[in-house]
Amino acid sequence: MSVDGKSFLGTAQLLLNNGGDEAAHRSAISRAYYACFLSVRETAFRHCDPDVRKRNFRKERDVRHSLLTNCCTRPGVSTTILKLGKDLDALRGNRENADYEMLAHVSFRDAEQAVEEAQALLEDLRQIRPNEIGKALEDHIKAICRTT
Amino acid sequence: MTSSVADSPKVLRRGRLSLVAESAEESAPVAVLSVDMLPEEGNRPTRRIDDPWFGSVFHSSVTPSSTHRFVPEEPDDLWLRGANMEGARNIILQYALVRPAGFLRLEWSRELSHYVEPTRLEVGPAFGTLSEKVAEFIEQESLQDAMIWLITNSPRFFPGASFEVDVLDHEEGEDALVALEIHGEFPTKEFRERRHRICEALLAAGFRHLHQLISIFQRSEHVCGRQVFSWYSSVTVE
Repeated sequence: MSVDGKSFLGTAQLLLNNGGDEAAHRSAISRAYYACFLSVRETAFRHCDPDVRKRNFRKERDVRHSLLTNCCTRPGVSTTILKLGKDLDALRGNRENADYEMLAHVSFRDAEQAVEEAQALLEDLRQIRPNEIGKALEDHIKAICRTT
Repeated sequence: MTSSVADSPKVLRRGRLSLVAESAEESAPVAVLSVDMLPEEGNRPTRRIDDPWFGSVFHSSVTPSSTHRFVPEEPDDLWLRGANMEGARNIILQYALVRPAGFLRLEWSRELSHYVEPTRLEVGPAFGTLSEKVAEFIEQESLQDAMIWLITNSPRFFPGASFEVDVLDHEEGEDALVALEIHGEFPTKEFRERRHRICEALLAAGFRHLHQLISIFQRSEHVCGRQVFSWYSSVTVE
């Protein structure tokens, strides 16, 4: 049984709504990011050219964080994809901060904003043609292969 | 005559950063921007800073008191009319990137004072100090120009906010992210729009590498133990 990445947004909201402590705020930020990362990755992987996919990835999880955002911000992608990439980078940065930077106080508002950002990103994702994201990944992989 | 850019020294995590202009005894028009290292910093090799206005005309040397001095050889009319202020600003920003904590001192002669007096000098936006880790990363990735652009332009896109730059920890095999943390109170929708605009502008300015590495997000509170300070100050002549 597979889990839909988007369902982690519900987990993030639960953590937020349960009036938890800072650990809950940090976890909500992390879950909000993963809801988006997993959704974008699933779309990109599924709609990427099957040959490129087969040659370069054994499985979906081989598409790592940097690779996914870099493919969305590479030259030639549409403004929509570019924005998606930077929105994902923003959530990723926020998540790395929440997971590793223990000196920073993470407030309820920080977590709430991350959840709102994730909601907006997933809404944007619904408006984008999946093939466009698949093509961005495909082109990025081809470009990497050309330079190595 | 003493002109103070920073009215009172700002206490930073690792020291003091301020900009002070004082009269020089020399009669020739001379301006000196010097950077006093903190005692624990020790002497560092002399660094030449390239700048559109100052770059080709500056010599730098390290004085016994660990002061880096930048002296324009032949300041011309254009320089005197105020380009010097822009140049000084760029130098300060560049210097802050490589030497986050230091004591900056700007001196000029009496002859220059009547040019300088009416000039307002804004020494950068409300940015927090950059850590050694960030400074090293910026050098390693050749992001100096891009960071100058970012530091200069961020307040335009996020008015009223203060900023921190950090290089985030990351998992093995992943690229490092440069975090631009915005400390502000923008509603989420507005914040996203502002982020989209600054990212577009960053690309349009030709800084694709930083565009790829940067992660811009809003935080409601500063990191504990770090004090964000404002470099926005104007020259005042006592």
